[in-house]
Amino acid sequence: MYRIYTICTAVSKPLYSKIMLIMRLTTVILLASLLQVSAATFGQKVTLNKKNAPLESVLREIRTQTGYDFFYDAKILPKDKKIDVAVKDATIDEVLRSILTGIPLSYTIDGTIISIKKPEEPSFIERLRSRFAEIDVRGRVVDENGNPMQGASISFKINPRKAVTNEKGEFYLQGIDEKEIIIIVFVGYEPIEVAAKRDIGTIRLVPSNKELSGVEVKYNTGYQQVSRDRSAGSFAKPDLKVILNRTSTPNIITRLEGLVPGLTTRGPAGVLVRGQSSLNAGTAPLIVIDGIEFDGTIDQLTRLNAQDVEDINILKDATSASIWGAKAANGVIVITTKKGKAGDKLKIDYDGYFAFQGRPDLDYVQRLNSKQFISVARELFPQYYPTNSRYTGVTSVFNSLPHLQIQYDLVRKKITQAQADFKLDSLANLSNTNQIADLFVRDASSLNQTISVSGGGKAHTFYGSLNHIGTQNNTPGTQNNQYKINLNNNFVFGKRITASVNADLTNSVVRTGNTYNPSRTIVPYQMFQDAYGDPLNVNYLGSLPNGNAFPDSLRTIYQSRSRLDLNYNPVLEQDRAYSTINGLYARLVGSVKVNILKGLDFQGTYGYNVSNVNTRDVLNENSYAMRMQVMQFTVAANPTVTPVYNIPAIGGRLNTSTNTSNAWTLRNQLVYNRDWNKHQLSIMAGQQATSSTPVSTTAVYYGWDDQLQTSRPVDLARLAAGVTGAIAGTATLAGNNVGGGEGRVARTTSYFANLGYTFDRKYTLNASWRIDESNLFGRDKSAQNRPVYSIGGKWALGRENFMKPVNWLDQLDFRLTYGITGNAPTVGAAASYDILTASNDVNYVTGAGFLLSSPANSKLTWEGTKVFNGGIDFAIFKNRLSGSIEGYIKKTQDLIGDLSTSPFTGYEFVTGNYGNLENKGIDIGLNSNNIRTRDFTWSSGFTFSYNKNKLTQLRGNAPATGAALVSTNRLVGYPLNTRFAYNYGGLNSVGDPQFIRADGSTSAAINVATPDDILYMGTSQPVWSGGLQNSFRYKSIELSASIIYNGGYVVRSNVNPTTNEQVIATNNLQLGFLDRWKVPGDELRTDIPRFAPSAAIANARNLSYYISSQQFFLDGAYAKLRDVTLAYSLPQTVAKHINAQAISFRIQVNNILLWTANGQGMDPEFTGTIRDAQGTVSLGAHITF
Amino acid sequence: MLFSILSQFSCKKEFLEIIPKGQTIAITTGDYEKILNANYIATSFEPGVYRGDEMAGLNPFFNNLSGAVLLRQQRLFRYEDRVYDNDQLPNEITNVNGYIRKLYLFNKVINEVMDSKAGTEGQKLALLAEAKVGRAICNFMFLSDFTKPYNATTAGTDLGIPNLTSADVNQKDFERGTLQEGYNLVIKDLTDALPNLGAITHRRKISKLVAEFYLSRVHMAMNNYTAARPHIDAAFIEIAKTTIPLGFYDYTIVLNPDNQTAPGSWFPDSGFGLDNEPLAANNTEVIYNITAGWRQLSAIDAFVFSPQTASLYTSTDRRLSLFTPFQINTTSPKPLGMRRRASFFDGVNVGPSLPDMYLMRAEIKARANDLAGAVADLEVLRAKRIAGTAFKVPANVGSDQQALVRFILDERIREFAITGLRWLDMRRLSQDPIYNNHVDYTHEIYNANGTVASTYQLKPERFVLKFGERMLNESNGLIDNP
Repeated sequence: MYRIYTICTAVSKPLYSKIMLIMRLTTVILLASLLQVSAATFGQKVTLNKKNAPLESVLREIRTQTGYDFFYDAKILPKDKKIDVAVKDATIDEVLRSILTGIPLSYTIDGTIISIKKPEEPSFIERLRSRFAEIDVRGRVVDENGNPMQGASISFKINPRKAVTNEKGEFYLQGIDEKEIIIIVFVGYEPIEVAAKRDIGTIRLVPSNKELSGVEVKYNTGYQQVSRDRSAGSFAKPDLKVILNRTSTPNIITRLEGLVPGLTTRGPAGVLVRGQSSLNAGTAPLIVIDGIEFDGTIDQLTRLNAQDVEDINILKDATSASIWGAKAANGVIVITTKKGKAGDKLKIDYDGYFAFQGRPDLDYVQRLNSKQFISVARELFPQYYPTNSRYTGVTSVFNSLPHLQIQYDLVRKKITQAQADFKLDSLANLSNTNQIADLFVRDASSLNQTISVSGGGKAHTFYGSLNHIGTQNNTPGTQNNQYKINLNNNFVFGKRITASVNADLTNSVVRTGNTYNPSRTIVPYQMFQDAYGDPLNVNYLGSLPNGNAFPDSLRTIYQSRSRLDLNYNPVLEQDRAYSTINGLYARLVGSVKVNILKGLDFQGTYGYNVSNVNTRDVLNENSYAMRMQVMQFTVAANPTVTPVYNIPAIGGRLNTSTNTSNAWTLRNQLVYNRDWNKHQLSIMAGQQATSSTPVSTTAVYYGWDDQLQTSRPVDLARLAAGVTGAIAGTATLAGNNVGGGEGRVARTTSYFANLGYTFDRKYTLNASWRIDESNLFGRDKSAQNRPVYSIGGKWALGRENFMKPVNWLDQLDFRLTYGITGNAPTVGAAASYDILTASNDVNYVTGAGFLLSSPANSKLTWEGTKVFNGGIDFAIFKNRLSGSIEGYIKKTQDLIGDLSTSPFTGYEFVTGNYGNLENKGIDIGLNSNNIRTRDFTWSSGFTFSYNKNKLTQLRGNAPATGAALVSTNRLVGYPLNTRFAYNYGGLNSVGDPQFIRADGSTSAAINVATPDDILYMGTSQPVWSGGLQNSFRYKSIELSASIIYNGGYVVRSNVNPTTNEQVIATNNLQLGFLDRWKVPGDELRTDIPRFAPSAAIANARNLSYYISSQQFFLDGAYAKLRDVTLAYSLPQTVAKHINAQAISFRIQVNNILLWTANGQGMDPEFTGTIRDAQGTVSLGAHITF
Repeated sequence: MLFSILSQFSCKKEFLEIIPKGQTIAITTGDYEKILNANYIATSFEPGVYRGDEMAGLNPFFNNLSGAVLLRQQRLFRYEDRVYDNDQLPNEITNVNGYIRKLYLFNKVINEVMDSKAGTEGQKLALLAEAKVGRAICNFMFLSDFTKPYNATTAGTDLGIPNLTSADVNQKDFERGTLQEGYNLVIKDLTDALPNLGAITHRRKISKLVAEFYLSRVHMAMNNYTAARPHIDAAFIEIAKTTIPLGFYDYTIVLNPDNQTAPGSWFPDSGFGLDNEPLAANNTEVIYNITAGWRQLSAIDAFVFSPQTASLYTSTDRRLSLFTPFQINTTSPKPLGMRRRASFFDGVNVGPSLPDMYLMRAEIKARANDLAGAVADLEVLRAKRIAGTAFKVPANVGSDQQALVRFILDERIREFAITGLRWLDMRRLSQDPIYNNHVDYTHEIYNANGTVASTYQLKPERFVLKFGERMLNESNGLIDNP
C-alpha cells in the first residue's frame, strides 16, 4: 500500500500541468493556493442547505467544508445561475451531482482537485475519432463479502486521472482511452488492475493480509526508526493487544511469554533472547525505553505502565542490536511509549482490571500429617536414641521440640509410659494446616487502573496517564501500592525544529508486617493459637541472634539474668515490627530534532533517570528480635545483680536506609536520509555519554519510640569494641550506626555510525560500527575500549520481475547479517589494578585499613559475541499466511568469570576471560488469517524458538570425581545448566542406595564414583519453546486463547522421600518415606533408602546415589493454556448514553490446562514444594471517552 | 554546532579517568601502610591441631563427622596419605587469610612500595621491612606444612617450596627449590628487614621484636639452638621498648574457677567458652597475632587432648580452665581426664607470644646447659599459671639437663595444647638425636567408656602434606611429596 501511495504523490505535480494543458484555459480561477495540499481524506461529508444560491458560492462553500480545490474556467459557469441544494452528510460526489444536475458541465475528482469543464463541441473528425478511442467507463467495487466500497480510489495508468467510488461503490468516468488500464485501490485491500471497457461490472477487492496494511512497518532500534523494507536485521514485534490483556503480572516483559520467537521467559537463566550468552555478566536483554537504557532489572519493569506502551521491538541479531554496542549481546528490547495525537477533542481512556490470584498450594508435595509424623517419630526414636542420648545435645541443635521433649522425658523417666502415650497421641490429633492458612496466608489479588488523556493541536500534542496498581500478596500485613504519572509533550517549533519532553514518575509504597513465614517443614502438630483463639508461644521457632538453636534450658537462664521476656510468639510478632519501602523513580527524557539541510537532521536525546528508595525497618520494644538484641548486650553476672542494658531495654530500633541512583544519558546524532531515483540512503552517526552514580545512606537508632519518633543514645564505641561479660558471652556490634556513601560510578562514552542503503527497493545493505569506552576496568586505557560492528544484506526476491508470475507469493525476502556485539561486566567486577576497599576492625592497627578485594588481572577484556543471522520473510496466498524463519549462530568469546589460576599465586581463581560459548538456533513466527468475514474473524499466531547452547571452552578444572560431576552445572561440550546423575543401582542388603558403574558393577561405597560412571541427563534450560495464539471475533465479542509450551529439557522431580536426619525434628518427610526400606529383603520391594539413625551411618552412605539418580530427572516438556480472554464491546448506541465512544469488558482466566511429558503430573513451572494458584480469574474494563 | 558543543562536554579525557567510590588502588606510601594496617595472618582448621601428639579422638563424635571440612580433619588425625580428594585444593593453600594469599599481598608491598608517592624514604623502607618479615613468616608456615622437617645433612637435596616473589595472578610456573634454599630465603628476608624495623606498637604490626622472635624460631626449627640464642636475647631487649602493655595474665586469679567474680576474671563460661577472654588486640601476652580458628560446633567434642596430656597438668594448673571436660551443653565429663578447648568461636593466638619467648629461651638455655637460667625463665611463666607452690620446677628436674629439656617440652604442651604449635615441635624433635623420643607417633580414638577404639601410626613422610593432583595440574613444574 505504501508503494502505491508513494507513486501517487510522486506523479501528482505533472498531473496538474497536464490537466491545465488539455483544458487550454484562458482564465483560471484558483480557489486555493497551489501550495496547500490538504490531507483531507476521500469521503468527506458535506452538509448544505441553500436556496437560490449562485453556483460559484455553493462551490466555495463545498471547498470550505471539504478542503477540495476546484479548477474550472470561469466562463463556463452559467451566469446568474441560481441553484437549490439540500444535502446532509453527503459525499462530495453526491453533492456535485446534485448541484450540477441540469447544467451542461462534467467534473472529475483527482486527489483533492475537482476539475469542472464543459463538454467541448468537438469537430466532426474529432468526434469520429473519439467514437473509437474514448469510451465512458462504469463499474462497481465491492469487498470480499460483496458489500459496496465507498471511497475506493480509481486511477489510470496512461492518462493519470483520479476518481473515487460513491456510496454504492460505483464509479462512472467519461472519455477514457480504450487502451487505458484502471487501477483500483482501497486501504487494507490488495490493489487491482483492470482493462478499461464500457461496463467493467463488479470488481471484488481482496483484503490485504499484511497486518498493518497501508502503514509502513517501522522498527525502532532506540536510536532510529528503520523501515522494515529497508533493514536486514532481525526484529520482532509482539502483538500488543495480547500483552495488554494479560493480567497475571503488571510486568510487560513477563507478559511477552510465547509471543516473540527467540525470547524465552522460563528456565534457570530467566528472560533470555536467543539463549544464554554469558555466564557471569548479565544474561538479561538490555531494556530501552524511549531511547534511553532502563536503569533497573527486568523485575523492576513493573514501573512501566503497560497502558502507556505504544510499541515494543525486540532486536535479536547484530544488525539490529549492535548499535547498542558493548551491551547488546543479550538482545535489546526497545519500548516506545505513547505520544499525543492531534485531534479536535481530548481523547480520554480508562482501563482497569482486578486480578484474583488466590493462594498458593502449600501442600503441592504431600508431607506426613500429624498422625503419620508422630507414628514415624515413635517408630524411629529407638533407632536414633542410642547415638543421641543426651537431650541437651539434641536441644542445642534441634531446640526444645514438644514430641522430642516427651520422648526424652520418657527415657529419662520423668514421665510414665502412659503419660507419654497420652501426650504424643494428643499431638497426633493436632493439625496446624488450617491455622497456617488462617493466620499466615491470605488470598492474593491485584487491582490495576489507568486513566489517560491525549490530544493537542498542530504545535503541541500531549499524552498523559495516571496509574495505580494495588497488589495484595499472600502474606497478611503487607500493603503494596504503586502510583504513576506519565506525561509526554511534543512541540513543533516551525518547520525545522521539533522537541519532546517525557516525564514518568513512579511512587511505590510497600509496607510489610512481621508476619511469620509458615514453613511446611515445621512439625505438623504445632498450633499457633490455643482452643480459645489465644496466641501460643512457640519458643523453639525463635533462635539466638547468631541463628543457633535456643533451647529452653538456656532461655530460662538468659531470662532470669536479663529480666527480659524471651518467649517467641509467632502470631503476636506480626504487629511488633514492620518495614516500609518508599521508592520514587523518575524517568525524564527530552529530545530535539533539528532539520539542518534537506535530508539532514540533528537529533539529540537526553535522558535522566533518578531513583530514591527509602527503607525503614522498625522493631518495637517487644519484638522478639529487639528483645534478643537487648539481651545479647546486657551484662548481668547472675539473676541477683541489676542488669546493665548496653542497648536500651526501653524502646525498639529503627534501621533506615536511603538508596539513590542518578543516571544520565546524552546522545547527539546526525541523520541523513535521501531518496533519489532507485536509491534510498540513510546514514546516522553520533556520540553518546552515560553515567550512573549510586549513593546510599544507612542509620540505626536505638531505643526507638515509633510513636514519638525519638531514640536514645548508646555507647557505640563500647559496643563495637565488644561487651565482655554479656549474658550470651562477649557481644560485639558489627559496624557503625551510620553508613553508606557514594557507590561505584559507571561511565561510558561511545561513538557510533550506521548506514542503510537500498537499491530499487530490492537490494539492501546495512552496516554499523560502534566503539564503547568505559571506566569499568579501572584506569588501564587498553582495557576500556570495545569496538563492535555489523554488516547485513537483504534481497527482496519477491519483488523481482521474474517472480511476478508466482501469484500465490506476496512477499519473499532473504536476509543475512553478521556482526559483533558485546557484553559489559558488572561495575567493579574486575580491574587491571589491585582493587582496595576500606575496612574497620577493632583488631586492626589504627582500627582501619585497606583490604585487597580483588587482585589485578591485566589480561581482562570485554566479552564479545559474534552473531550470524539468516532469515526469510514471506507472505503467501494473498497474505493469508505470513511469517519469518530465521537461523542464527552466536559465538561468545572471552566469557568473564572465575578464571582458574594456580593457587600458588594467592588466588585459585580471578575474574578473567575464561571460556567460550555457542548458541545456535531457529526462530519461527507465523501469522495466519484463517477466516475473515465481516462478522466473524479467526486469526492465529504461532511462535517457535529453538536454541542449542554449548559451552565450548572453559579454562577451569573439569570435575575429577563422579560426585563433583553430579553437582556441576557446566561442562565443556555440554549446554549450560547441565544436569548429571548417577545410574541408580537399587538398594543393597542394608537399604543403602547403590549406583551402577560404567562397567556394569554396582557399589554403595562413598567417594568411589568416577566421571565415567555418570549419566548425562540434559539441560534444565528449555531448548525449545513458543506459543500459539488464537483470536476469534464474532461481531463485538472477542475470544482469544494463548497456549505456551516449553521442552527439550529436564526438571528435577520435587519428590524426595528420603531423609538423612538422625533426629526426627522437622517435617521434611514426604509420603514416600513410609514405604522406605525397613528390614532386609525390602530391597526387593522398594528402592527408597532406609532411614539413617546415626551420622555414622549417614556418612558411610551416599544418599545422592538415589536422589541424584536418573529417575528423578524428568522430561520437562509441557504446554499450558496460559490464558483465555473473553472481551465484549458494548454497542455504540449504549456507549453514547454515557457520552463514551467505546466501552468494552473483558474476563481472563489464567493457567487453565496443563499437558506434561513427565508422567508424574508435576507442573514443571514449580519444582519446589509450593505451587501458585492456577485457574485464576481477572476482570477488566476499557472505556474511551 | 550544537552537536560539537555537546560532544565537547562528554569527550573530555578525564571523563573515564575516575576511580569508583568505595574502592581505591594503591598509589601513595600511606595507601601501602593502610594495606598493612588491615592485614593479618590467620589459619582456619590448622592441620597441626589435628596431627599433634597431645591430641586424641573421641567417639561417637569423631565418627559422626561429615562434610569435606570434617572429613579432612578425620584424615589428618588418622595420618592418612590422602587428605584431599583429587579434585580438591589444599585448605592450607586456599585459606583466604592464610600464608599463600598473604604472600601476594606482602609481595605487592615489597615490589611496589619503594615507588609509591608522597612518602619519605624512611617510611617506605619501614613498610618494605614489615612486608619482608611478613613474607618470611608466610614462607616459614609454607615450609612447615609442605616440606620435610629440616635436616642439615639432606636439606641441600630435599624439596623446598616455590620461591614466590611476585604478585601476579597470571603466573604459571612453580618449581620447587631445595629445602635449604627455602630456609635461606626466610632467614634472608628477616635479616634484611631488621635495620628498618621499629619497636612494638600494635599486636598486628610487625616490629623488630617479631623479626627477632622468628629468627630464633626458625633456627630452632633447624635444630640450631646456638644460632637461635642471640635472636631470642635480642627479642627480650625489644620487650622493654614496647609502647603497648606487655605482660603475663595471672591465671591463678583470672582463671580461678573458684572465684569467678575476681577483678579481671575471664569467667563465666557460657557453655561456648569463657565470656571475658581478652580480644587478640588487647591480649597483653600476644606480640604478633596470628589466629588459628575453628568455629565449629559439630566437631567440638570430637578432638580432645589425650589422657597422656591430661596427666601433664597438676590439679592447680589454671591453664586447665581454658579447657573443659564436659561435652557441650552437658555436665557429663569426658573419660580419662580428656578435655576439649572451651572457647572455639574466636580461635586462639598461635603467633609470637610472651610465654613462647620464655619457653624458647628456657629451652635454648637448658640445651646450652644453663640450667639455672632455664629454671628461672620457666618459673616466671609457671608462677602465673599454677596456683600454690606447685609452680616450682622440681629440684631433680632442674638439675638434670635432659630431664629439664623434656620438662620444658612438656611445659610447651601444657601451655600450647590444642593450638597446633606442638606439631612444629614434633617436626623439629623428629630430627633431634636426643629428644626424638619425646614425640609420640601414635594417635588413639577413644570410646565414650574410655577404651581405645582405634590407633593410628604417624609415618615420617607424613610430617609433610601432599599438594594433590589438582595443585599439580594447575602449577607447571610442581613436584608432589611422596
